[in-house]
Amino acid sequence: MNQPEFENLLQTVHARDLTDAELAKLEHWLAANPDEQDAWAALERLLVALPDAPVATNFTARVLDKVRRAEATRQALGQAWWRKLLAPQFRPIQIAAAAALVIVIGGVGYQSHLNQSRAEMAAAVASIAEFTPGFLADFEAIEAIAQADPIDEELWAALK
Amino acid sequence: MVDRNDPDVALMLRVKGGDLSAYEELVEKFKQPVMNLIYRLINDLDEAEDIAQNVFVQVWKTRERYEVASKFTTWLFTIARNLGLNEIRRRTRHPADSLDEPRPDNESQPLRVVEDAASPIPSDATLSAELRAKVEEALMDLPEKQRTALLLCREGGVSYEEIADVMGGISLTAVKSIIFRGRSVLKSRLKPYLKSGEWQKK
Repeated sequence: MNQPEFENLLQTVHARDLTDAELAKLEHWLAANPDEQDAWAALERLLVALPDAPVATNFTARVLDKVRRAEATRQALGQAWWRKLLAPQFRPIQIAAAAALVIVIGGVGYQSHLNQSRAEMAAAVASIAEFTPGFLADFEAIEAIAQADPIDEELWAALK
Repeated sequence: MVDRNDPDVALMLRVKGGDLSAYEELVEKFKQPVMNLIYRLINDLDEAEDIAQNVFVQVWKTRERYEVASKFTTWLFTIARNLGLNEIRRRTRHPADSLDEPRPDNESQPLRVVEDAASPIPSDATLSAELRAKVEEALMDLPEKQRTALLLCREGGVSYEEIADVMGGISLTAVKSIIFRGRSVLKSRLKPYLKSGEWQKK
């Protein structure tokens, strides 16, 4: 690689990331050019020579203080959520919650019982309809008998 | 895979077990590199110290999630960079926020105790104040990625692989390109000093 190619790579690196091959060329070029290498090394030394940022003497103490407070808060929160609910000052809430629980359980139980009864009735009707189709065919006539008052003797005789 | 007997990893594993004295040792050991990174990321000393403290608080809070998958410093610098970036984003969204706004807590510790309050940056025999200012300014003008990569390079012992991990798992070639890009910008801006070697004579 020559100087113009090196300059070209410098342009390229500002536009996009270099490929492995381009990086290898670059490293090779720097290794073969002491002047260029010196400039880069000088820059490196300049960066390393920058002073450290000052750190307060109580830095660690303040960190530990923050951690202790964070731990105390975490523990307080961890205990509070269920123990507080059992405290006497929440008695009305406890009673209301218990009542709500009973109502919900009762409601669910009753609904379940209704569903079961309906299912049993539907099953019974279905079984009757399956085994005695003629019975339901005479349903209207039988119903008419039940509603007839007094008994229609002619109809009764006809049915016999 | 990182050796579990690596001193930093061993220290962090003690912290993971809830050992507060190990944690104190860890903070003492790494407060300087973390401060260096964050201070030069956000260019505000007071804010940097607050964020650096929060980095270590975060280390404590998330200690149980620490896995020995990479070097401890990779994990630490990743947290530091993320918190630094959050601050940069916050400043972008709320540029008018005052740095003098009241602190949120009534901490028992004094806010900040420095040994020499008159000189926020300690003087260094090898760099004149003017040159230091030029370098700091040139660094601050770099895009965040280039700056972070160069600053991590500056901390001894941080490899390109680690930098790639800290910067969100980018490729090694991307890291090398970013570093080269940053160095070439700095080189052109600081050319007169590099050529004369002026700073080395001081």
